[in-house]
Amino acid sequence: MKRLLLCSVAALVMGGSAQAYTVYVTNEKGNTLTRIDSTTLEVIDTVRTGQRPRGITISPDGASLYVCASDSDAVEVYDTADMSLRHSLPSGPNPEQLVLHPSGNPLYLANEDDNIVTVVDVVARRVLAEVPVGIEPEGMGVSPDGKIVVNTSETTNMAHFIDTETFEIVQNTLVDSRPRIAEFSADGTRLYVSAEIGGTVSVIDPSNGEIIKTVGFAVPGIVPEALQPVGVRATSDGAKIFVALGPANRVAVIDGASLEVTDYLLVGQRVWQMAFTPDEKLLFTTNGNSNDVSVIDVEALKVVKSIPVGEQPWGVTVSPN
Amino acid sequence: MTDLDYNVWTALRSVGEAVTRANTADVAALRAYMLSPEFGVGAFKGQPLSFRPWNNQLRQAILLADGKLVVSVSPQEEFLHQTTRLDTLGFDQPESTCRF
Repeated sequence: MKRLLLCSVAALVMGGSAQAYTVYVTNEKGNTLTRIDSTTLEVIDTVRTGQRPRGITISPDGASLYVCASDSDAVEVYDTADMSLRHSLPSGPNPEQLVLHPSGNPLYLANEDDNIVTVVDVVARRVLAEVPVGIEPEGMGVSPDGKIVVNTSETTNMAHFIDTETFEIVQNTLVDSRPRIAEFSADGTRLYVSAEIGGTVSVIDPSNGEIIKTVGFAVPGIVPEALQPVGVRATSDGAKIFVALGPANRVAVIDGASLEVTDYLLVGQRVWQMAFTPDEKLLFTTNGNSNDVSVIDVEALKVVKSIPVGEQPWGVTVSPN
Repeated sequence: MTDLDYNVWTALRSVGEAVTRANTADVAALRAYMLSPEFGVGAFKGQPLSFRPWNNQLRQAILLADGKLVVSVSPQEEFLHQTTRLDTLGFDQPESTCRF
């Protein structure tokens, strides 16, 4: 009996997503946030937010949820225990994407209309710095050691490397047209930047800002203009890099070693942002035009489920515990 | 934003794009680059705009709107073209007698 119990516990740990995580999805048009259970893959509930919720992230302890309410010009902080709105942070106008320092403080956010990155102390609730960047700042990424924050500017077409001590730009890398996302590899040796109009992902060496490779995409039957890379997520072992291709309704899989595209997974319409469960067994994608979330089995590279959420899902994050 | 504002904005965006990509301030080189197939400017959401080298027109998408509602954006994906789908809009080179 004891052995049987042990076996079933082992099976539980090894098979599927044994631990229940909570998946949080912002619905840009519905002004809501949808919570999904990662084991049942069912919607838990829907919570009202400020106007036009887009970027979303969660504190390392999982207690606080940060939501860019773009048209309310605020970052809303929710208590994940009961989903009550705790307070709003000063954010500057029209915050779109945000990233937390690995320690959980401060918060770095892109102000699309003002060409700045705002640094906010989430405990003192005050603005620490405003860093001037290129035109239409969008993507935000932080290095694993927390020393560099990268912002992409959609009109200037650059990745700006910001020193988190001095708040100065230390390096700029010109990438393809309309860069949307900056994502560091877990070991910090690569930076992935997607370019929506350019239709590429630039793989950059963060130590010198040089582009190692520019990865392009091609899907039979899809016009090249529809291949618009937005969301980028890489597994922590660096083996698989996932790229959301917007209106191509596909997620591309890039092999981390060869940097070649190995697979295209059919998901919902206008796939935008993505997030892994902490065990990296599942990847959730937001599909803005079909109002649903696709769930990808990372090991099998299969889309296992579509979950209807609110109107125009945009951002997604998963609880760390 | 009026038509004129958008035209000026797109013109300046095109020059800015050409300067950063071609990495030069030489006018002749910039002009040649902007008319080349390599040039594309992200001046419209969703697809790069470029210039028709035979008549210097900007290839651009057209919003089909009714009052407050955008119904669709042309070019329509059912119409194919050997160069760019944006050339399915308006008169194309073989049909036009206009020359620069």
